[in-house]
Amino acid sequence: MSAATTPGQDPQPKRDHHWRNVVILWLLASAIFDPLILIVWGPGLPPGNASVQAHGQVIDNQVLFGVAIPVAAAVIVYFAYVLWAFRERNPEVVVDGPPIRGNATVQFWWLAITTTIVLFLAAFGTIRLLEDGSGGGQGPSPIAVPASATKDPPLQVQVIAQQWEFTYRYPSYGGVETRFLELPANTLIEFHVTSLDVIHSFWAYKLGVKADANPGVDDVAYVHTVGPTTFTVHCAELCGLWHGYMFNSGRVVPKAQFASWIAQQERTYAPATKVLPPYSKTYFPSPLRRGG
Amino acid sequence: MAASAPAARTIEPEPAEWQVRLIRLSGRLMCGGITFFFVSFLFAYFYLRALDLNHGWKVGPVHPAHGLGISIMALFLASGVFYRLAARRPEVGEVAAGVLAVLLGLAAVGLQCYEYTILDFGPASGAYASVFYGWTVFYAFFALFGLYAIEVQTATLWRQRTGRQVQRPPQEVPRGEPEVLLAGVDSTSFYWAYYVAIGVLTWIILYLVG
Amino acid sequence: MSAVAVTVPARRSGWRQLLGFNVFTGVLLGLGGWFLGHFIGTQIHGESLEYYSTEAGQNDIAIFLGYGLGVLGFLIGLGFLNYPLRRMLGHPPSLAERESEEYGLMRYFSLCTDHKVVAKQYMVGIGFWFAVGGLNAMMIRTELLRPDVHTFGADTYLTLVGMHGSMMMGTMTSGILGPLANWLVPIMIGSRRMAFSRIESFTFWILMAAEVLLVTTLIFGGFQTGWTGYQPLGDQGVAGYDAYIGFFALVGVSMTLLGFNIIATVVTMRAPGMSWSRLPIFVWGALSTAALMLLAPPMLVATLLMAMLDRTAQTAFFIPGNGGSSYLFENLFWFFGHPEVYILALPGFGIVLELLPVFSRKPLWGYRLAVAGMLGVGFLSFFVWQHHLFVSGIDADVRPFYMLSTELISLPTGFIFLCAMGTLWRGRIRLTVPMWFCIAWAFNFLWGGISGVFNSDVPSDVTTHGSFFVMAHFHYTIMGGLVFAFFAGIYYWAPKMYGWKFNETLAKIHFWLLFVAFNSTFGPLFALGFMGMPRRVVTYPLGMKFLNDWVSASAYTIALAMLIFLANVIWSFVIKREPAESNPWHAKSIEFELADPVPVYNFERIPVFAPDPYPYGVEQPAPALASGGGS
Repeated sequence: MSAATTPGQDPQPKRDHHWRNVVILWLLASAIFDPLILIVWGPGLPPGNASVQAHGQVIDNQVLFGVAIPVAAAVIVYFAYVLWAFRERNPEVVVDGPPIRGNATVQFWWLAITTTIVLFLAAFGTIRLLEDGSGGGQGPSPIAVPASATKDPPLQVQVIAQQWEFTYRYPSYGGVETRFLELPANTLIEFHVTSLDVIHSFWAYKLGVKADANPGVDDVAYVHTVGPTTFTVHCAELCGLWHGYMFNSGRVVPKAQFASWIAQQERTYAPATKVLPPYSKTYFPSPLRRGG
Repeated sequence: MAASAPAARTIEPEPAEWQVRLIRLSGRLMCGGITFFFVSFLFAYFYLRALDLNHGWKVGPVHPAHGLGISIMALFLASGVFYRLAARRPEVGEVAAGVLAVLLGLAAVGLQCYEYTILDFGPASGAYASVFYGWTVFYAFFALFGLYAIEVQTATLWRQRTGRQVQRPPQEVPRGEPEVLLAGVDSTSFYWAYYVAIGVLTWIILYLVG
Repeated sequence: MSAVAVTVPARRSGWRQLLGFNVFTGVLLGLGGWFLGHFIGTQIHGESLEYYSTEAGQNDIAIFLGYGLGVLGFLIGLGFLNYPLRRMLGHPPSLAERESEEYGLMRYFSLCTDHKVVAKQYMVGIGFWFAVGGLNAMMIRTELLRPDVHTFGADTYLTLVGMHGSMMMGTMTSGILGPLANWLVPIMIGSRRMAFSRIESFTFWILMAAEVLLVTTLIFGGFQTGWTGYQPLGDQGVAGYDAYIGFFALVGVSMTLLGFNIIATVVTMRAPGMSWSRLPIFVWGALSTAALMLLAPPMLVATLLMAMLDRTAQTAFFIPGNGGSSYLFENLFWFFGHPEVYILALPGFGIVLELLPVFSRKPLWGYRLAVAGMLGVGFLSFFVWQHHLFVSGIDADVRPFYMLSTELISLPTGFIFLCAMGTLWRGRIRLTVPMWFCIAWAFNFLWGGISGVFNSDVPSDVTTHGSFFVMAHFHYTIMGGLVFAFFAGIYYWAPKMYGWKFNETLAKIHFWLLFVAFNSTFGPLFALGFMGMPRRVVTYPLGMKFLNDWVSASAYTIALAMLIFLANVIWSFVIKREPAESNPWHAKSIEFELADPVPVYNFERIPVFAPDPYPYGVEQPAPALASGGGS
């Protein structure tokens, strides 16, 4: 049967300082790491500030880190401390500890604090999401439309994904198509992302936009560009053999430069644009062929 | 080859009510599992109908055979109702009801197979056709498992009641006591009644709502 | 209660044991079934069913029929159809098959209804396929050593990714319930058996058949969808995708029946004194997992059968050109997929909370809160699945709801942490190897959980979805959580299950190497995700090469740690075989009060349990058994 286990006699003196020690260590850890991460890394948090939506995500990440660091610090500090303070130093000894089965006060405060944190984060995230869409794909009827869309009609850019290339089409400029995304600075862009075959995902990391491309679906995402920059577009949803190679570069250029570029594209490709299928929010090419 | 002498051990048997309780519970648990299986098809029906992608909900003439549909549903329903009645009421014989339930169920499955041959649409005729074929095929397929369970209960009960039990060495667990067998009938009939209720829902969605 | 005499059949001699119903016959009949099914399929597949242009020789109907009849042949060879056929003839129910020790080693290669044998079969089976999945991971990391040179090529790489994910997800969902719950749950509640012992054996063998099916994908060209099997990409794929469908459909059946069995056992077969508030927390973990296992996998099976119909009967569940929708697959898959990952997490909770009282010498702190946490996690897991679909374009207006529900699920998870922390407070903590794995569980799951909160925030998820950040998140929760808890459970219970001691030094090396290598492997993946590296890619920007190489080197170290564990198993359990003490951890739970070796019938008399599940530190420590017990 089990070895002799005498009921534990609590070896600590009546008033000890374990709780105080844990709290102090936790405050120290939070005080060091929270500012360290928020101030040192904070401004450089992904995905950067190359668009209004990307900047919004940076703010979200800052808040999340601000909350996560103290929570993580609490758990780590606690575990480290109890493993040091309450460790049985002599491996031969098998003595029971005090039969503490619970503590209603602790449970109540834990539940109250964690619930508050969770509700705060959910509310904060919702407010931030509804403010400008956060660059995420919202489907054919978006509800999180940036306010500037009412004053200034956004530039519509259709992103047509296929295996294994993105094509960008400008419906307001005669349906001109290009493989290299070119966008004007300081403009609200309304992406319409769709696919010709399987599920892809249009991800421009620096612009903070990601919208899945589904066949037969028009997925709308908003990005408000700021200054000129270059960015990379990756496919973010496994789409077959060359998914890893489905990336390309894009640019945000000053408005005037974009205007002259797109006018020149319209002129150059006018004969071709006439014979392309008319602009539609979704396309249904012939059924899938078996392939790799 | 040396035969070692069989060794006997005396151990306390487990409480008899355990086997009865777990047999009764098992039918109910199976209902939970099978529910989520068919919920998938229910969800597919409404979702694809709402989306109607590329006007593909019904491609070409798509008309389910209503006469056959009602017949199949009625046969399943009768099978489920009779067998459940037999489990709940002592005056209805479980063995006779079991035989009837199996025959009715097999007839329903057979009619379902026949229906596929006379339908004016195939599985490739759009989303509704896909859901129709998928849902009814798997409904008929899993119905066979339910009918198997009823046959087993019926055959065992028949042997018990007509004195034709197979003699086997006694085992620790109660193996054929009347309570256990009746618990089997109760459990199977509950599951089968639930299953035919799913069948009625299938008929309503696929045929009535259409 | 009158005693019942149990007779033991005579032992069969030598090579005769190989004849008859066992896995060897199963494999033979399985191969025969494959060829028969394939032949029938080639007869069926005619002109009328040609809809898309097909690759020469790809006949999905033949492959599915081959798999179906192959699995059926395998089951027949094992003897699984004998009892059902006998029952059809009206034979009375019987619950034991080949349980006696007289059958010897062949029990482990056959249909054996002794739950302890099934648990050990699972132990080896899970261990083997976990190793194969791990090998796939090493190959993945080898491919990612250089972005411009392809060791395996894009095609093979994607199949490796899919096999690794599928094998791990399909294997480890039964990873704890299979080996440990099957052994412990009946004993912990005072029963001699699981409720349905043949079904228990069935879940093991069907899982093994499923794994073999998955490996056959290599013969048919592999599959390029990853473990999530997204449509319509899957429909496009060559025949290897059929192997994926077959694998997961069988895994789904195995999981459903395993969950069914555990629920039936725990609800109806508790011995006197084992009330709901007396249940060991490990059993609560198994029970909450079992509830999810009963309800979620049937949806996966239905979804995969729809995909099978798309590929064979030309239906259009997921083909947009013909009325289907890729969104349908995503919704159905993730409605299963999210409870699935809690099926992976919950048993780990159960193990850790069961072990911490033993190594703190204190009762479990907040028992009712822990139970509430497990049940809460299980319940909420059905309401969060659309967080996998935040940027997909599906129902964007319900995203705030799923953001909230996903954040909320961290509350019951937090209860588990609180109970773990409370158990340690003022304990007399002994740092054994199982205890170290429990502490590591807490550390790893902490980071996994926090990164989950990041993912649940939609704005943050816009960047991290589909990137290596998500990979790091779920490897921290699943591998850092479940697998570490799994090893805690192995080191803790295997000495009792098998009767031999582990080598302490090798065990400690295994732990520290694994813990350091694990964090070194998956920590940088958070950074790679934040830097913008998508998942499942065969190339990446040159600037990420250093981190990727670091990760690959650390992954090889994980493999080294696992080899050390394997060496420990071979050294301790095969070569040295030093007998373990009966209760090496001085635990006060029933499994350590059993005789060594544990007899087939577990205990001579049905136990009567004393009311306290964790009687540590009380004046007169109550034994687990007030009466009855081992011989």
